[in-house]
Amino acid sequence: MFRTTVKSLMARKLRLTMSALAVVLGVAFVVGAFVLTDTLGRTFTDLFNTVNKNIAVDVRGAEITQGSSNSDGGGRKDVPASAVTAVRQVAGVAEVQGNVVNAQSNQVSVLGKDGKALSTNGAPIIAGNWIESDRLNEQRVVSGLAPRGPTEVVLDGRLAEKAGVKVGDTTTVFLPTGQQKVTVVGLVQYTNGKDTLGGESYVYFTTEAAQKLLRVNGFSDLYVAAADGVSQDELRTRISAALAGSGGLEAITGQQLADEQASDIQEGLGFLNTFLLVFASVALFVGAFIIFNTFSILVAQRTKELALMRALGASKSQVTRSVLLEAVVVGGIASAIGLGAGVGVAIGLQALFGAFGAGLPSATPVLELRTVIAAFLVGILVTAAAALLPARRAAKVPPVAAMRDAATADRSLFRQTIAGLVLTVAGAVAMTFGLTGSGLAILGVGTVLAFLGVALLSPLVSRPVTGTLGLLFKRGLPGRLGRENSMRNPRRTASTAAALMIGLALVAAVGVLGSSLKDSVRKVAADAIGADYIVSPTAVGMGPDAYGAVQKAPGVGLVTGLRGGQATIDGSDEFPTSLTAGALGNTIDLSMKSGKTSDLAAGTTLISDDVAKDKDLSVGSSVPVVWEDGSKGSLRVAGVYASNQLIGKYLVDDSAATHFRQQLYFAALVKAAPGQDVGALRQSLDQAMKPFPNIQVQDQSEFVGEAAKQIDQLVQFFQLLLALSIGIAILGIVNTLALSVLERTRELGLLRAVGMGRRQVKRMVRVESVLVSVFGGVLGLVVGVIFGVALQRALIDQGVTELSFPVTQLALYLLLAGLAGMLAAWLPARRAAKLNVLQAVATD
Amino acid sequence: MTGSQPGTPARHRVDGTGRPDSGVPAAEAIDLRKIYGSGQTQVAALDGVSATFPAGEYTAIMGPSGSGKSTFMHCLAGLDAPSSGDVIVGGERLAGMSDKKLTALRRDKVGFVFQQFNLLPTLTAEENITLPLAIAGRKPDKAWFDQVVAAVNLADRLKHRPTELSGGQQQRVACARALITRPAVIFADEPTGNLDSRSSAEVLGFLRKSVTELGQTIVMVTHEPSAAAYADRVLFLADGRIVDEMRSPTADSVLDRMKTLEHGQDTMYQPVGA
Repeated sequence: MFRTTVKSLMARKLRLTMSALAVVLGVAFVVGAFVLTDTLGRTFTDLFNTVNKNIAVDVRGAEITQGSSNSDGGGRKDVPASAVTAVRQVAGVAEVQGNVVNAQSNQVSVLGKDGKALSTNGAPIIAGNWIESDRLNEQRVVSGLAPRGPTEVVLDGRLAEKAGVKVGDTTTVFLPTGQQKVTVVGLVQYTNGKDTLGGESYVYFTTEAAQKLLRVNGFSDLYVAAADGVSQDELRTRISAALAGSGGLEAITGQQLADEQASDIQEGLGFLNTFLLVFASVALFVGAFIIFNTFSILVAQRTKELALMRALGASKSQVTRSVLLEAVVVGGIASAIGLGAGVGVAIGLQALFGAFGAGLPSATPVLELRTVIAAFLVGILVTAAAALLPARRAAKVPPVAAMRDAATADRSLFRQTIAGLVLTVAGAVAMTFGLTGSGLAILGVGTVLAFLGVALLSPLVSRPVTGTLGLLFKRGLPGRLGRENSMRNPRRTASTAAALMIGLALVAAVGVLGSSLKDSVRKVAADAIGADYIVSPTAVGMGPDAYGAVQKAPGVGLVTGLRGGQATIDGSDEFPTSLTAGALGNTIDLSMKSGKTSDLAAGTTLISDDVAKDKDLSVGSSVPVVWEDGSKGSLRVAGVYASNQLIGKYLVDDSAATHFRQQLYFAALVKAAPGQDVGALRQSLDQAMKPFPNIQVQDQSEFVGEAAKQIDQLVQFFQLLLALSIGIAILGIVNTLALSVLERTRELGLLRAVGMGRRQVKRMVRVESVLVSVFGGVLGLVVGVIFGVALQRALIDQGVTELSFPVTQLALYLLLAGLAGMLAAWLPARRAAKLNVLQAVATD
Repeated sequence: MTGSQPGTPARHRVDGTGRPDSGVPAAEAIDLRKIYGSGQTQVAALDGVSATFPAGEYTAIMGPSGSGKSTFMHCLAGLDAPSSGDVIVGGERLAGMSDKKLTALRRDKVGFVFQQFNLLPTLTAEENITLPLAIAGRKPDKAWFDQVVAAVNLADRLKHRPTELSGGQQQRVACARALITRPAVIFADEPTGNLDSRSSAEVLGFLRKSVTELGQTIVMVTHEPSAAAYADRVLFLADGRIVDEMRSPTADSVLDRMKTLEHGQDTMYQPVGA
């Protein structure tokens, strides 16, 4: 049986290429996801190993807020300068260096060549103190000098280039304490000759300047080098002992530090990996449809051959196995190709992330054994699973079919419809559970079930839908024949269209969600913002100087400065926003459920009704709070407002902002003075913000527009990733059409013989293709819109209060589906038109 | 016309079909050669075949398997290109014609009836009949359509799809389709090859009638002497050459001639009627 399988594969290699291509693409995406995250993981591990090479022990402050394992200061108390002396006296310590670094990567920026602050969305810009040590600092000053004065800095060469500065030039650095004019006195580089290890940039001050500018009291942590012959563990034990009772300082070995840093990164990369694998699964799911379809058609076309094998004594299981074996071989070959292509996908994904502003370090792709195994496992399993049903159908071919004409009767859709209904309902139920908090996995399973269900149900509607759509092409015989062909085999049309449906449904759902999100933001902004202008930073934050300039600008009435920070409130990590009570009802409108906005004062908080419900709080309740600076206290609830995405869950009085590490404002809301012309105020504000290149002035619609732009970008990013599955679906249409053309060789020959021109033949195939695609598009849009509505409903509590349909966009998708059909028809149509009339009609 | 006795076909023609019995032939083959392969493996399927098909005449082409009769017909019909020689159909030379022109020729000047797979399964009988007109984007001439439909006796089957018709009915639809464009010549390739004897008689009778009553020109390839007997004359092919011609054939006379041909004893041109 094996040999016949191989022979049959060889005979059908062209027909199998397309379906194999679907698996190739799916596997390539899986491989791409793994390779990308592995490569990044390796890059960062290398980075930390390089940086930590000589650090035997790291001394750091106690954790302040929960759940944060950030080893470089964020969420930890600072290490007092006195600890340096204490540690230095421990036996076996060769050297101690205090490290000062910004707590969060988005808190530092540098003025770019274009006069704007460099974006902080990509790889971070790290600000810190220049550590004068060849042992504990793996970077060296390669030109110029180390910083000496309070406004002197050294940069890495790449950052200097982005900032357009040379040694001796001045520039502006944006820091958590505001903007700072600095002189570049030198350039630094790693000992391995690289400016950057993972795409990150560096700006180093003197230790004193860094402490002041980054608001670090003492150091973020201490790097300790061990004397010869002293192990990391040994030294750590000694230092821990020496530090006992010194305010919760802890010592970890350099290895632990590197492991912690690596696991932080792995956590982040794990998320990225899962995210990418979701898209890979979508691609594979779509690919499975195509495999299923291809094998179904091939089995149908081979009915006679299979029947002959049965007649010659092959058992049912032998027939099944031969078809499955074919699938396994196809899957294996496709996986091998996909594995190779996956490396390319990883590089492409990296470029994609780069294009959307999240630059990732580039490095030699890492191909782990796990990736190779996953590729083959996934590729072969998906292919075999998709071919299982066709294989079983093949076994059911009665031997007598060898003697009959292979006119297979239309099987009843009854069982399929029942199965479809069951799956659809089960899918809908699972999705509902998934959306109402049972987790993403349930949602995923529900989505798959729902798609399968709809795919099974779709043959019921394929005839009427393609028939109706086909009326558009009713003029002219080729169009009419194309329409008839698309209605001919509802199962085939439906399962071909289903592949496209999946991609389009997801794209449409994302579109609906994005559009609803934008409307919700618009609504929230309109409801909540009473200010005429929103002055906000494009990078880092708004310093007191800029904030003061806003207040002093002519024509300004009320200004509300908003600051945010982290705090542990009632046991959970929260991000309270601080403002002055006078803002409420003026620059910010809240719809209060209970309590009064005017009661917001030091020691009180306003909370959203979500929080009130979740934590069972009401006006007068008290909650414990631990601030970022380590101080503890409690907050009394002064009021409850209707949940508002813009404001967040907790509002605290401006006086609480002293506890925030980040002293910068993330926005200043400006209301014009009474009688002041609002348009003139704009000019006045623009003028006042001239000296602050990282600050922008927006009115409400501009503010909403920017938020909308970000949502659009996110939507586009998702849709681009989903485009892969649509591409695979197009391959599926090509495949089905090509197989149909082959199947209808005689018919096409007859048409050509009685005078149909090549262009007419092409048009006929094109019309069929377009109808199948548009049918898939219609199904996809319907399902996608339903999914979108379900998502929106589920996310009302998260602030997606409005439901909105991106009508133009959805119409565009349908148009694109039609274009996809044209594209898919290209080769099959050519093939049909090129058909040798004589061979097609010649009697056997 | 199904009652017409094989062997005694009527020579009478009804005028007014727009195709008077002039001296211009409907189709003509001039020294056709068709060579397959090259060098040692070279095979001549047609080895210099010339023949004239007068308008309004029913010609049967016979010959043993491999005699080249199908190739001959395919070349005549513009479905296949000869290696050398020329074909004239309806006054047009086929040699050097582009695919586009050949397609138009097949559509407008030639009708086809094949042995199998003659109809489009997605179209009704009526749509199948008017298919060549629909391809050309023309409307059928109602009177002519009715006349053709009446002749093939399908008036009550027009809305049926091919799967709902018997083999004989399907082949009659195919005949009607071939006639609908009033082609210069209809080529029929083993039109009764897949039919039972009753259906065969119906189809052959209809073809005969379309020649006699409608003045149609028909060239039919067949291997059944009884089918050939419906024709006005029979051309015998062997080894790519016309080896004989028989006028007013009967089933018996054709059978006799075929026997000698198939035994390969006589490949020389020998007019039987002489």
